[in-house]
Amino acid sequence: MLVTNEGNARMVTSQPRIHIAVMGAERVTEDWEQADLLLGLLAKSGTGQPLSSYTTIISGPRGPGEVDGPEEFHLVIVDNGRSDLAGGEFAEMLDCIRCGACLNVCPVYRQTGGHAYGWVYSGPMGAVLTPLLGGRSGAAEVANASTLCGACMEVCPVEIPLQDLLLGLRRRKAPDAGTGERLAWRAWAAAWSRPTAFRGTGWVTTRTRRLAPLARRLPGARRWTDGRALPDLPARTFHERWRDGDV
Amino acid sequence: MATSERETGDRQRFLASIRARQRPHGPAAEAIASPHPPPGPPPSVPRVGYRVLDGRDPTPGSADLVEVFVDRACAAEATVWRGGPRGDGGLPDLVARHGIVHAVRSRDHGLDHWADILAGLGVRVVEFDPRDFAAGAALETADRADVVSLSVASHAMASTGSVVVDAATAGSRSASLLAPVQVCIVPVDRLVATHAEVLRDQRPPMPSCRVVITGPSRTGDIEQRLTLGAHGPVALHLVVVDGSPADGPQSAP
Repeated sequence: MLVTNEGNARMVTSQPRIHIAVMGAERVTEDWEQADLLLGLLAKSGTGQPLSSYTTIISGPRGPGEVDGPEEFHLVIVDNGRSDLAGGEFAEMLDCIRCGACLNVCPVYRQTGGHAYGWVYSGPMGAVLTPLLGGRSGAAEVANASTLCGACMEVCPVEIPLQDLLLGLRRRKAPDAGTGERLAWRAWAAAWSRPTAFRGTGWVTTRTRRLAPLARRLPGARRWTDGRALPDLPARTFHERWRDGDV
Repeated sequence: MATSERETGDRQRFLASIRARQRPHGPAAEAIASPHPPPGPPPSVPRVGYRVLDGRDPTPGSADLVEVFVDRACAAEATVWRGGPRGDGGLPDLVARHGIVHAVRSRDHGLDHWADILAGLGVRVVEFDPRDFAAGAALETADRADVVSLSVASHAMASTGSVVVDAATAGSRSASLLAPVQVCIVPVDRLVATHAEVLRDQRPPMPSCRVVITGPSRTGDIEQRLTLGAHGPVALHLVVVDGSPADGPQSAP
């Protein structure tokens, strides 16, 4: 079953002599009742249409009495790690119907776009599926590309617990953290879990704000600071301004 | 399809590994129980299999199916004409508006009346010849800019304003796609309420290709503006044949 608005799927499945269809292994439904249910969810969730312009159901090469259509039809069912997920902690990710509703609502995807995810799948579902299928080197990092706001989980039509799966991936990756990373997290947690220390870091930042451009010179900082403008740091923290009645 | 012993062994091992994962035993079974069981609809909402009718979908067999179909089809940017089997189908207006010079059709006799009207308007009607595969004059004709394609819907669905075209009865997978104007005849006895009634009823032998068509081809990729006629027809004209006296074009209420 192919779903398009433009008609491109009809074009490529009717003109050439040989038709090769590629499909993920999880894209099989038990019967037409299930397929019909998922079809009804797909366009509504992705683009707000009741159905897309064309839903093409192909059962093989051209039939007798037809003047066009491919002479050969080949179906390639791609596993690539999908069957490994079945029955496991992340099995629900296989329910994804690729509607794009999670992309539509994700604040991270809205800012970074699809290429930032580095592989086939982007947005919240990509942040889960790419690490699970071992996409490219560094694929595991993509699970961090989330604020865990939960908007994706709310709109998912097949109710994949994306937030829980992202947390599960981060938990799975946590033991790999190096000493430097662990110390940094610990220092940050120590500083910001105490009101006095939290206000202290704010005070230091505002009082040293004229030194902020020097951050670009820190080792490894250029990858982050290149192409980004530093925020305008205020002279006093919000706490101070509130205490003094300025807000 | 050649099946070697190695291929069969690989396939069995692969399927066995999936089967093993589907039925975990012991603590693993509890671990994968979903923490988020989906809430069902309120008991007062009538259910039909998977579908929950919310009052917006037409009920199967209801009298206003045609009205709903016309409304939803126009919302999908199709034009609809409704009338008797001897009417003109709104074709004269269509031919004039799009400058139609050629038409392609299958051998389905349900198209004879409408093909005759087109011929009467000076349109050159080309019929598919299944013996003339892939290099056919019919497909070359369909690929022009001034051509209309004629086909009969095997089904129509009111809830989405869609029609279903089978390649077997239509004679071609692509003619109704290549021609910039698509005319589809919809006998009212083939109109059902929702796509559930059409899709769930499918069983072998299946046609090689079946398309559910909702409106003309469209894309929003170009400058983020909706554009009709991307890789398909820019206009879809539906002729609803129900013998109603209101012989004429329909628009959404």
